[in-house]
Amino acid sequence: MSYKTAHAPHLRRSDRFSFMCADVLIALAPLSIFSAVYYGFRPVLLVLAGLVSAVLFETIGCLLMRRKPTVTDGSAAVTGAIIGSLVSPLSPYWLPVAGSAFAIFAVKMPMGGSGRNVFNPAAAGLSAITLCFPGFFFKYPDPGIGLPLPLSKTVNMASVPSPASQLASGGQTLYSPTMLLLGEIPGPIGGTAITILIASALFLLVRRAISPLITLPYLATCAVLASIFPRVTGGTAGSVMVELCAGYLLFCGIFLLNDPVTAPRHWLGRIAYGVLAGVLVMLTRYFGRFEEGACFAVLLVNAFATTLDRFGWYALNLRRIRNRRRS
Amino acid sequence: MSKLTNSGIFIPSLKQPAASRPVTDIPTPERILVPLVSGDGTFCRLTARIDDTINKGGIIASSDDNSMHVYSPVSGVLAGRQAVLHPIYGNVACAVIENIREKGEDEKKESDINLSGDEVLEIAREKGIVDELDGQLLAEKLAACRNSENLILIADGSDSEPYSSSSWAVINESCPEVYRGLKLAGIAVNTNNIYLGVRLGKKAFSSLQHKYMQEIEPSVFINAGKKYPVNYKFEKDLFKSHPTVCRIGVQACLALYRAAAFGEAPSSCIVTVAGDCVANPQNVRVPFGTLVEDLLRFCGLAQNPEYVIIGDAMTGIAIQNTEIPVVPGISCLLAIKNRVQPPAHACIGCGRCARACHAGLLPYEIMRRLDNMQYERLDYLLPEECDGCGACSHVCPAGLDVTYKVLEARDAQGNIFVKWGTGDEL
Repeated sequence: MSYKTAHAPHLRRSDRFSFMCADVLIALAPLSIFSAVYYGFRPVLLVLAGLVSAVLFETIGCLLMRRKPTVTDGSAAVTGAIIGSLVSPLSPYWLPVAGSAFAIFAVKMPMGGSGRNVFNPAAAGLSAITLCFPGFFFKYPDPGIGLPLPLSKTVNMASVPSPASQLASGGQTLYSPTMLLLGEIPGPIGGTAITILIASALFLLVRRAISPLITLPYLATCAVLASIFPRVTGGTAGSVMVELCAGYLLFCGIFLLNDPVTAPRHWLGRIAYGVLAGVLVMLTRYFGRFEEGACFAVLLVNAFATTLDRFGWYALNLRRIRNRRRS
Repeated sequence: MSKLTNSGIFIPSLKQPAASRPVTDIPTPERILVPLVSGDGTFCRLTARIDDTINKGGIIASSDDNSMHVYSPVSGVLAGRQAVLHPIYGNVACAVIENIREKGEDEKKESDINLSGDEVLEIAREKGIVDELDGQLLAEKLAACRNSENLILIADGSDSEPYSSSSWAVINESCPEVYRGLKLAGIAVNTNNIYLGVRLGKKAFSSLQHKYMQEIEPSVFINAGKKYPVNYKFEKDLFKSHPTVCRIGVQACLALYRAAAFGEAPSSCIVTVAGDCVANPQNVRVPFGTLVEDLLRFCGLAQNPEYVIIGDAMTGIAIQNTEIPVVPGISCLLAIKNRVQPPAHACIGCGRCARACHAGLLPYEIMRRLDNMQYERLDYLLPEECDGCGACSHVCPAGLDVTYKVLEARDAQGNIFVKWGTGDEL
């Protein structure tokens, strides 16, 4: 009788990449639900538009490239859901669809598909729609209106300045720390609910879907820079609070930077990556054209991920490598 | 810092019920196949004649320079030679021994074991004692670390892999003898820092210390902790001043003691037979050369296995047929039907392999360079420091054979392209 052969080990953990993606989708769901409390069902539809279109585009991409469809791993759904979560509740439905199309067709599939992309597809999709349609992207409704937004294609409603735009224009912010923490501020669908974002981050940390070695150095760097170079009156603590809660800085640290495919794997590389991302995010805020440019910073720092990873390990193992080369 | 970052992984313990059952002896098999390979891997010539009756412990083959021998593990008739494709030795000639008879063990007198280090090494070499932890010749392993300063010698009875409990069975059965063998090994490597490593709960550990208090100092026992692969370096402050740790198997220690005290060549080993297809998982004492199929038949199969694995689940080799002999170094045999392996996917870069690697390597980077044919840059990533523990593949959510790739890089030793030849030959 002939038995099957396989390489050791013959005992594996039952973890799958799809489980990690499912965890991220579970962590993203409360953000759109929270937004639905303020704006009605429209934000949920926007997130779903991004998610479904990304899955559809990846299926088409796989068929065009004659590859086995990889949509079942959930990475496309995560990309689409992230794009949908970072558009304004006032956005037209085609905006997250356009972002997903760019993410999948221009960034993910040409590099070989799932697991092989150098740049974060969601960050690339967001960058594309930020650059092409800034008028739609940064037009936020007032959460205090108390009425659900219409579900029609376009909504004609006056926008209110978000904390990020107030920071960009300088001066005093209108929003109290309590409002910032509770998410009663204008902003992207998933970027304003700070308390829920922190809860999602804790959930993902427990599930090991994200690394504290990226998120914590990133937030610490942003906080240090915000305290050294405050853009609002009201002291260091106020500046740190507003900078961290405005825009989608926190969302970026949890969901965009922790994409396993584009982030470094070694612990030292991850810390350096977090610090560099923090510096770049703050630079794009201070000197960028838009009120929020974290997606551009993520793309920039993605380019350094492999180098940081490699040099982090080399720096720690220099003596071992030298001894080896001598022998 | 390395303690925080590269501290191994937790794997499930699947040792029951084999670990709690007594060791059983396999009934005398009809025939056995003894590979004509000495302990150091040298191929040997058959010196006994076909149809000769040979006694247990008698020499049946010798190396060309007559320095290494193959001893018969049983008494019987040498029926002939047979070529076998063995997963450890490759294509190897085996001596077929049939008409095996059970011979009552003679009462052997324990000889004086006040030996010098050289004498211990000579005995270990002559009797071809093999360390079951890595399949190396014990004498070579001890000689290699003989002159190390601040050496700690550990008889590793921790059974760090998921199914195996054979070391624990040996300690349970003959702990004082193992300790005496360990002392002899300590003499051979010039160290007094000898320890007997086990993996037990606090209560069971202290009861083990108490049980052998008369013969063995309680401080000789050390607990290996719960992580895989076993790493004693962080268990005690003592190891901070003793950087070199040499681990040897408890079965090898027992064999060394028996060889020194009674002049016996090792003839059998204890093998854990387990897996979801085995009807009676247990530890079985088998003569070397017993066929795997006989061993599986003895323990019974509850269902037909898809995989038969020589060795334990983390490092074992899946074999295609079971007509191969048990050789020194095998301490576990698995028959498995349900083997969990996530569907293969491109590396997603989660970095879990790097966190799991106790040697502090970057398995994903080694794999990437191998796949991208960047062979000249492999050297910098130190693949030769991989011991093939399998932790990186175990944790990989993309279902990749990371360990296999890293071992491929390690075994190539930077010479992957050497045999391409010159332009003239093309």
